[in-house]
Amino acid sequence: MKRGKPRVAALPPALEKAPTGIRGLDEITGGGLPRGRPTLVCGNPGCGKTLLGIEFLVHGALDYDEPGYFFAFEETEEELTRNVTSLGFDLRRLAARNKLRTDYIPVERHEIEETGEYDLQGLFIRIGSAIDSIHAKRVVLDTVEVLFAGLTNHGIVRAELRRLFRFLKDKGVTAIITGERGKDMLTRYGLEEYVADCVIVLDNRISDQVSTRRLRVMKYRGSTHGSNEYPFLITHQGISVLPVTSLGLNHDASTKRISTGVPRLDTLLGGHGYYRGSSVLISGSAGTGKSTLALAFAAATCQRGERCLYFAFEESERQILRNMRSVGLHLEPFVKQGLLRIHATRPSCQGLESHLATIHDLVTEFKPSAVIADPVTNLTSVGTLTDVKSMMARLIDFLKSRQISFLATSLTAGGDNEQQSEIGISSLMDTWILVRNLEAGGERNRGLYILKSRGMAHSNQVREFVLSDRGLRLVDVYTGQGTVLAGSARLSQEARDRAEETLHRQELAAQRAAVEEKRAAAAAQITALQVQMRAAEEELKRLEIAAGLRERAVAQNSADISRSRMADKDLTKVSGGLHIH
Amino acid sequence: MSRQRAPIWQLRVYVANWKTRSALTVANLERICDQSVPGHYRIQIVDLLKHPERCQKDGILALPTVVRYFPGPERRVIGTLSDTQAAIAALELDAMK
Repeated sequence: MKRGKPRVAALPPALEKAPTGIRGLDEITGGGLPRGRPTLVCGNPGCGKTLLGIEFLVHGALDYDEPGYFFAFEETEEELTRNVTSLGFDLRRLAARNKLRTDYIPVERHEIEETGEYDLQGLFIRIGSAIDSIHAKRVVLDTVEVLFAGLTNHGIVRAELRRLFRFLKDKGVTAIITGERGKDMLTRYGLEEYVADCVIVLDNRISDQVSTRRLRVMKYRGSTHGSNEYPFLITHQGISVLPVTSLGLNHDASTKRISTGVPRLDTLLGGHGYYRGSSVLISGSAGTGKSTLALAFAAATCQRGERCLYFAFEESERQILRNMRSVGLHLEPFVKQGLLRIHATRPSCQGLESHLATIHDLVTEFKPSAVIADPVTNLTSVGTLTDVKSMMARLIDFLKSRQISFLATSLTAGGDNEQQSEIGISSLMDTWILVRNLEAGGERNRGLYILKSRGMAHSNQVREFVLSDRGLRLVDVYTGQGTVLAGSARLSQEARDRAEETLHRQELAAQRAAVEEKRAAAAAQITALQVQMRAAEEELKRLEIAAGLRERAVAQNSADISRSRMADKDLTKVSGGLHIH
Repeated sequence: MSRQRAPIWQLRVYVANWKTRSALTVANLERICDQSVPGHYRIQIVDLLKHPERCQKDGILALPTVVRYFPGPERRVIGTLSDTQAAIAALELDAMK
């Protein structure tokens, strides 16, 4: 062996499996039934054993090119054909194409005398030649146990059944052996002793007047398998097992964000809205606007040109459309464009599993990018809390695996436990928005806040959620003075605040005016003083000039005097007369 | 008189291969018939390995199966007919006695 060669290569090949084509069953069994071996399917009458067998063969014939042979010990070919026609299986056509044949093997009950030794070689030859005739790869024996009723020597029957299963293995066919559920054993005659490879138990229980079928893979030699009880349904498309879609949690997590339909709410959720493919829970007491929020999300989805599937468990489609018009949400165009489909049903008209199946079917058919269930709490009328929770887990898983966003509303009883989401599904959800009543000042207003939102920085603040004919808005609640106010209390407080503000502004203006006046007065005084000062300066100048003149005049006079006293000196100068400058 | 009107009993033995058990059954049947309706019977042997379609047509599961198909109504018994009295009763070979 070369170095570095993976060790896995040295292991024997994994158990080969024959896919049943039955929704969910292949997922639980990790690919189907053990190929070339018999599988025991047991359960009470009417639990769907025969149908499971038929579907195994039909899918084998149609989808996997494996012809099948159905050996019926209880129903005639006609009965069988008729019974499965309603499920859309046309056995006659398949028989004509040698894809699926049925053979009714009647076993009279104790009508045949037995004396001495015998074996069931006749049955072997019959089954063997039938298998060879169409090269069948799949076989169903439904129900070989009637042989115990037809033959008295059970020792021989047991020995022969053991030989029969060996014979089928040698033939290389993948077989389903059905058996009736026994009291203390899996099957009444202990068939499980002989078919040891794979055992599937079907069950049909009724609790609270709702019947639920369940399937469990009890044993699967050489293979891992889901060991839980999985609810299953018989729908118009046959059997549908609803496992938690994958046994692990490994869906893709999208980083794409989608709008909630309310811009301010997008802001609260880190600015971009929900994650695509995430699950959102909106819980709140009655009349808090949960449905409106849900439908705003629906409208946003449709606006992007994506399809949205809305399951209404409370209101009819018309009622929803009318009500949403009153808050400015016009959904009719989306319905007409085929983007929005509203599926309104009463929760009580079907069991939980049927609801889940309906959702599965519609999702598969409509291929929406968002699914809304409003309100999921109504489902508790048809199941226990545990059942609803388990259903929700499976639904969320189913949707997540397809990257479909899911929004559910949940009605809380109000009171103290508003954060106690009634069916305990909050832990399954990625984002949880709580809408609650804020009661104060004789009125009720809606407060909205985000309790959690995985993987995003979301606001922790309460917003008031306002529904009006112009649409739905989130507004800041009044948070001044250490209290939280909403609605008209908020409005009046805000008005009070505004009045105070105005008053304050006015006072300020008056004060400013007064000071301004003072300043103006001072300025005026300054001006007056400056005028005075300039006048004084002028005066001063004049005085100085006058003073100068006088000095000169005085000097002139004394010169005149001296001249007159010495008249013979410089007389000519004087003759010019007196000049004053 | 009644002997002349007595029918020829028609019997069929279904086997797979001619094995010891098949031979034993036919031998037992012949003995019983010789004892009950001597000379008035005919035994046909059907090997289902050669005629597998007759398993379905004749509704045969257990081997060996002995069928008295004439006169009707048909009577069947399975096994090697080791209990003579039981076999006679089951095939109603004593009815005409």
